[in-house]
Parts: sequence; structure tokens; C-alpha cells
Amino acid sequence: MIMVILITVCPCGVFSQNANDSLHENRSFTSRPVTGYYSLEIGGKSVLATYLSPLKYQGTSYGLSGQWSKAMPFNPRHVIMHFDASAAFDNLWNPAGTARMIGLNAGFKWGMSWRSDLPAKIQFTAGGTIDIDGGAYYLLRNGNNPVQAMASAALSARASLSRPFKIGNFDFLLTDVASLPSLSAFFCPDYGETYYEIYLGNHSGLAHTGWWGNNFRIDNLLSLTIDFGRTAAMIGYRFKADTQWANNLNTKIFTHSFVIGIVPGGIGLKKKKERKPSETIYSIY
Amino acid sequence: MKHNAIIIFLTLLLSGSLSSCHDEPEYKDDIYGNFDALWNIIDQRYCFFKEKDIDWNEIGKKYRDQITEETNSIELFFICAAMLDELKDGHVNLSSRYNTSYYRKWWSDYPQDFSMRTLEENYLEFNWLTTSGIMYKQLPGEIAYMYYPSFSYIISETSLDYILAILQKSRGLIIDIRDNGGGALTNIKTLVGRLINEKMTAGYIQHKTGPGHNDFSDPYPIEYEPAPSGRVKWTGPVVLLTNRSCFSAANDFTSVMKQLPNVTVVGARTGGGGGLPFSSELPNGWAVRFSACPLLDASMQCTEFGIDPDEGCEVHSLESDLAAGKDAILDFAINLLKDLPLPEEKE
Repeated sequence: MIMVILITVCPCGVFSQNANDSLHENRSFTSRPVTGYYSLEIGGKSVLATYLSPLKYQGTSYGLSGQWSKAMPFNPRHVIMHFDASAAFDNLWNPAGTARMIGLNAGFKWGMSWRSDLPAKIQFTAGGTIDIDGGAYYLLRNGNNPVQAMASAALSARASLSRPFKIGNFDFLLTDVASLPSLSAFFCPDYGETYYEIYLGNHSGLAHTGWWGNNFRIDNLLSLTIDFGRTAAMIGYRFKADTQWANNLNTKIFTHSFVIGIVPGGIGLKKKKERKPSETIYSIY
Repeated sequence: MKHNAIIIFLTLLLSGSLSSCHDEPEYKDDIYGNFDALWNIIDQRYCFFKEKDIDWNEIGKKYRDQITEETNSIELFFICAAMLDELKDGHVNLSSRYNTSYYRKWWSDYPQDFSMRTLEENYLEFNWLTTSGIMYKQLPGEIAYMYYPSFSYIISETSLDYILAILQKSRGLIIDIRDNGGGALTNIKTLVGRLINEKMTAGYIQHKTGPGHNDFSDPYPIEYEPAPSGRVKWTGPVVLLTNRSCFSAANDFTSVMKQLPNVTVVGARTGGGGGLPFSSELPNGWAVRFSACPLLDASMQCTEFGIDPDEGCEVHSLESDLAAGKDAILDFAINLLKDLPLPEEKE
């Protein structure tokens, strides 16, 4: 996963460096730095996956996530490209504490948003992303149905609201970002189908078209970022819901996480008042 | 205009969250809640109601009437276990911290037809080779013998090469799976691959597609390929020895082997277990295992009730004979093979 992140992000960094070089050579070029958030997430998770068990498992979720964004050259004030990557490990128990479930998940999102300024310094963005998610929940004591594999590809709507404010000399940015997968293709085994049968080659009925009626998911991050200039720090709360209904199987996964992160290079709030509008355009605000 | 966009987005978000709710029944962690949860799991997921002509509603009522608010956890366990015994299925267990229930009558009501001590002492003479869990030896009269006690032992392809190469100069091969209680189906594929020369449909598998008693998928063929060239194969006659304690994967292996033209099945009817088991659990944390996916033979017949030996080959080993060091089933197999030519004599 680290490789994927590096491969994806490195070109952005190169582009950014090139833009800065160009800035020194020719002031008419616009600098569009890549803004990267790197976060640790820890929180509570509940998983109901009726392929594995009719009981709701609860426990702790640990995650790493990153978000990289950049204003686009053809309309830097309004068009932003972003890429998100995340990975999580879950340690869950049944209500009686007699069985353990382990979850491993990873996800990637790439997309673009249109941003516009609303009254009262509020910035609104809306756009879409292409999401790829995969993972598995492993119930250690089950025999022929030990794993609920999760895999999906989705087109998502994404929107955010941001508002900067100041307390003393500190610049803050309050942001809420919501991502809503709207049209997806996802994997689900049949009601009583073993992975052995899938291994034998019976792949019928495994892939499903998803929409909000059978595959409602949302990922919402409410965050507060404090900009120190050269760097910024972020704390936040993430709520994720991932529900799936297919083949008479019900899957409901809810995560509430505390998020703490850093933004190397800052988010530009401190520099904004010093810079000329045509020189540097940040993707965050 | 911008405000409208936000309102529309939030409205869609809310409507989506409302439309995706599929509530699951939640059972309380009390005497009745746990009983009802167990009854429902079996009702929705067990796969042999029709074949066994079981009225699960009637059985549920009979055993639910036995519980009261005063029933304690241990009493509940034995009431639930007795209810599960009505399924007459060795793949059904209820597991708590203090016991695992087990339906034993599928083998305990039948002769054992096998003694490990008799085999080791009188036929293998405490001198055999072992690899991948398989005990093997060439018996007097140039008869190859393999004893595979459990399909839980993963058979390595290399081990199988050695076994078959060492036993190659024999008149015939006896594969003994008596008392083999099953294990991984993938081992069947490995073993059968050495005995066939072309792709075969070994049987079929089904699964439940919904909670109704008759909600099943179409049978899906289980196909086995011959082992790749370069692997040691066995093309001569084979005698497969079975008893009532052959269960689950051993039962399925017997149903596959019975189709092969060079194989004779000798011994007693196998114990069945023709359904791949699934696992689930109750609110109090007890685990339950049950047959969920029927395995059918090549003629699409249910294998849950066991596989008969070939006609004229039903043999039983009496306890008194076994105690005296005589294994009638193994003797029968040796007699079938002892006059056959050696491979080099055929050429």
C-alpha cells in the first residue's frame, strides 16, 4: 500500500516542485502545492455480517489515512484534484466475549471537486471520486464460513464545507467532508455459499450493482486544523457507515474514530494574507 | 443557487440512509432468546430438512415447552442439544464453555469393523512408513497398502510421489480409510488426481440461497483433473476399505472413488456427513455448527446417508476376530488382489 501511495503521490510532488521552480523563473506561473494530510485514527467499530454470525461484533479500530489534494492548472481557483488512501485494522468481539473477529481493510479514492466561496468566508466544494475498497472480516472460530470478504468499486459524490477563523494569533480551519458512494459494484457470496464452492469455480451471483438502497455508505470527517505556517495540525472525528444487503445477507459496519494528523507545509492560511493572489493557490482553502 | 445545492445534497444523503435499512431480528441473551436464536439459525440455514423428513416447527415446539424462566444455562444446553440430535447429523454440534454436544448414533449404533491395534500388530507388524499422515507398506504377496486416518492431514504432492513410487511394483493398492472422520475436501482432489487419466465430474455441490427450507442453488459440478505429467500415478487395481466411521470428506472420497472403473469399495456402508458445515452462534456466545451445503454424488444423489460398498463386497470384521488378530475386511481385499499379475507381468 505504501508503494501505491508513493507511486501516486510522487508525481504530484514532482509537479509541485516543477511549479515552484517555474515560479522562481517566471513570476507569471501559478504555484499549486500539493497539500497532504497524514492521520492516525482510533475508535470504536461495530460489525454485523450475517454471513459470519447473526450477532453484532464490537471493538476497536486502528487506522492510517492520507489525503493529498492540489488545485488543477486549467482552473486552479475552482477545480481541485484529490487522492485519499486509508488502511484499518479491527479487533472485535462478540457480545459474550467468546469469539474474536479481525478486520483488515484498505481503500483508495481519486477525484475532482469544484469549489466556490459562500458568504461568511464559507468555502463549499462538490465533486466526485472513484473509490476502490477491499478487505475482509475473519471470524476465527468459524469453519467453512470464516471470512466475509469485502470488495467494491464505486462512483461517489463528495462535498465539503470549510470555514476559517482566528483565535488570538492562531489560524484555524473547520472542515466537514462527506463522501457518499452512489453507484457501485460490490462482492458478496451467496447466502449459504462456501468459499470452497467459489474456489471450485462457481462465480455466479457474486458481483452486485450497488446503489443507496442496497449498498449505502458514507464517510464523514469533521476536522479542525490549526495552521502554524510551515506545518499544520489536525484533530477530527470520522464517522463511517458501510451497509450492504445482497443475497439475503446483511452487513452493517459503523465506525466512530478520533483522528489526529499533520499537514507538512501547512494549509496556507497564514501565508494567504502575505501572498499575491496569482502566485500560490492552495487546494484546502 | 449554492444553498440549494447543499440542501439537495443533504436531502439525498438522508433519503439514502433511510432506504438502506434491513433490520435483523435481535434475540435477548436469556433462556428464551437463546433457544429461539438457535431454532431460527437451524430453521433458516440447515440443508437436510426435506431429505430427513423433519418437521422443525414441531420439534421446536416440543423442546421450547421444556424450558421455563427457571431453566438454568446448563439445563438449557442439554435441551438445545437434544433438539439438535433430532437432526441425526454428525455435523451438528453445540459448543459452550463446558461442553460440546455431538450426535454419535451415526456410528455408535453400528459395528466398528476396525481395530488400529490389529492392523499395526498383525498386518503392518509395527513396521511401516509414514508421510503426510499416510501410513504405508507393501504387504506380503506384493500388495500395496495405505492407511489414511484423517483428511485433516494435508497430502503433499511430493509425499504422494514417494508413496506411489515405493509401492509401484505391486499387484494392487489397498487404500484404507476406516475410522477416517473427514477433513479437507482438497485432499480428495490431490489423491484422486493420481488415479485418473482424464478430467471427471466427481459430484456436485449446492448451497442455500435464502432462509426457506427449499431455497437451494442449482447443483454445481465438482471436477477433478488428473495429476500433471511428471507426477507418479497409479493405474492398477485399487480396493478402498470403508466402515461406518468414514464420515464427511471420507464419505465424499468414497462416493468419488466408487465411480472409478479400477476401484472396488469393500467393507461397510460409510457414516455419511454429506453436507459442508457452516458455523454460527447464539447471544450467550455458544457456537453452533450444522450442515449447510449438500454434496451430491455424480448421479446427483444425496450422500448424507452414507455410501454402500460395491455389490458383493459388504464385509464386517467381527470384534472377536479383530481381538484374535484377524481383520476380515482387509483379508477380503488382499484376496481380491493376491492373484492379480504384477505390473511387469502384464507387460
